[in-house]
Amino acid sequence: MLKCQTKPSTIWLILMALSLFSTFFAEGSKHALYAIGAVFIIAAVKGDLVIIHYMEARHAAPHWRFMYRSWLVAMGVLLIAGHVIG
Amino acid sequence: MQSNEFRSDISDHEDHPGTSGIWTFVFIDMVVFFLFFLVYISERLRLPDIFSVSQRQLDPLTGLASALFLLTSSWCMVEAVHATRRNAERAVALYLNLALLLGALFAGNKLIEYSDKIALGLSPVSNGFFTFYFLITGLHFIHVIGGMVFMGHCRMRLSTELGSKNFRKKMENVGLFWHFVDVLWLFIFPMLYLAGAK
Repeated sequence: MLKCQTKPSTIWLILMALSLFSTFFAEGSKHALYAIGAVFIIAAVKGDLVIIHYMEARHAAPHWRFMYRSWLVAMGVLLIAGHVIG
Repeated sequence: MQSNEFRSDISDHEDHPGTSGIWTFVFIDMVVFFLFFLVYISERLRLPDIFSVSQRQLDPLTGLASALFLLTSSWCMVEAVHATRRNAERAVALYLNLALLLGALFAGNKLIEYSDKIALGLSPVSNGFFTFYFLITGLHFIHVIGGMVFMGHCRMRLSTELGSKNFRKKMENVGLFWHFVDVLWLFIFPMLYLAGAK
């Protein structure tokens, strides 16, 4: 688990690496369902990193942290379910 | 005196980043975009083949470049906000300039992509997928331009307002909005460019 004091540059490197990985994984994967699951889970993880570390939601009122993270979960579930069902 | 006491009672907590108003505004915007995504998914379920084939007309590397521009711009904005808290004027100016430059690169990349699509005869009325492509990326593009205007405003006021609580809150608010714009693209990019394309 990343510490709260993680440097913004470290978070940036992680975000860049995850973006590159998810793009090339999705493009190269022969299993469409795995690729769909992976890209949206990675998108939600990246969103959480931005919200917690860049938006500093860890220092915001707890209800905002809860609501913003709930939005990420809702987005991930919607997009994965919508593509898997289809 | 009474009025000042009242004002201090309702002001935002010092330790919280930004104002409660920006957290509310951004969350409402998030919910609105969630509804766009919901309608996109419902239409995708109705017309899966049209959506899958149309998605192949988008270049994933263009979407990836946009993501990298925004992520890097977001990082520069974080550094600008931290520098604002230290009253380090040169660092704030440097990181705000970089954040603006990267935002402009995102916007330029998007405009080139739009012109390529239009040159191919693709428009919002071509089919269901491209209606959503132009609508969702267009709304996001407006958010990018709005964020850049706010950043430009802070850049112009930097030398006169740095050190004031008002400027710090302003920078934090602009930062929160800019990161939200970044988070949106983190979902728009895989949804339109990657997932389900064939």
